[in-house]
Amino acid sequence: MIRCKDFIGFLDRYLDDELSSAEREIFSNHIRDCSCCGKYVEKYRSTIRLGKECCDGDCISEDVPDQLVNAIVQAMKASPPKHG
Amino acid sequence: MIDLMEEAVTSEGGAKLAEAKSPTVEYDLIQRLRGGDATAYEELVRENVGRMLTVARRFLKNEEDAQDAVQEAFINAYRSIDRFEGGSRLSTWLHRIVVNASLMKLRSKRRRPESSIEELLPTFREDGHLDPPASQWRKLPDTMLVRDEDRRFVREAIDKLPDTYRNVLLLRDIEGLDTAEAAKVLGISDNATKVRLHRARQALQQLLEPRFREGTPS
Repeated sequence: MIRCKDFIGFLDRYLDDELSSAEREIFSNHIRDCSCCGKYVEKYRSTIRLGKECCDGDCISEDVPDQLVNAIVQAMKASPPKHG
Repeated sequence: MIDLMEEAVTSEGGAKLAEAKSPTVEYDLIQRLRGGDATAYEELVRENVGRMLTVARRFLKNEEDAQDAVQEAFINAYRSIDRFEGGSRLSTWLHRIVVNASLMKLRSKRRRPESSIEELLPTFREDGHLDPPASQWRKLPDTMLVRDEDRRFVREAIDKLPDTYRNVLLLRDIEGLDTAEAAKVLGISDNATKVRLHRARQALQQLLEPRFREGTPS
């Protein structure tokens, strides 16, 4: 038996598959028996998914000002690599 | 102060930012940079600045700060190009450097005390049950079909998190760093990183509740 409070405290370990098989069985049984925690897990998964998808993790800004590019190139030319 | 180059680790987490550039072409670019080839500077910048500015803008809400962080990142990377060992893609290395530059800029700007996150965390009855019980969310569409308004809502919710929690969420869930990498960048233990991330996700879930609860328009 595990309480909802403890279940939620170990949620990341459960989702990251870091629990032992015995612990995992306890968690799986809890989700099956506790609809409240079942909903909580689904919302938690959705939260992670929404964060990833809505922040455009692999998006490339297309509005880079030329001024910024030129400033960076000029600054690089003025700051040669440190050799050695 | 974090050494930008030391923190540029080799995980594949940032590889999503990299276009498929052949190792030979990348090696050639690095050699040209090391040799002081003026055309190589511009090539490096033009190929990577868009991705790096996207990352800096996520951490820094002020456009001028974001551009400053990108510029500092390029200069630091370029000045230390001899220390790039090729264990990761050049774009992955640059990604880590701009993450560090953004966090350093953020730390230098932080003045106000952070708001508490406690009120956004779940509460429990004495017997350990969730109180109030968890609600059901509406069914979410597949990737890429999330509405623009929902996407904006999620981004604004992330921005509402106190920096301590927002940063760890961005590093782990958006930028793709693993726990050890995020811990190193933040200067905290792996365990503290896990605890912060868990609290950040719980708080974000609570902030998203009014938008995604069952019965809200989909």
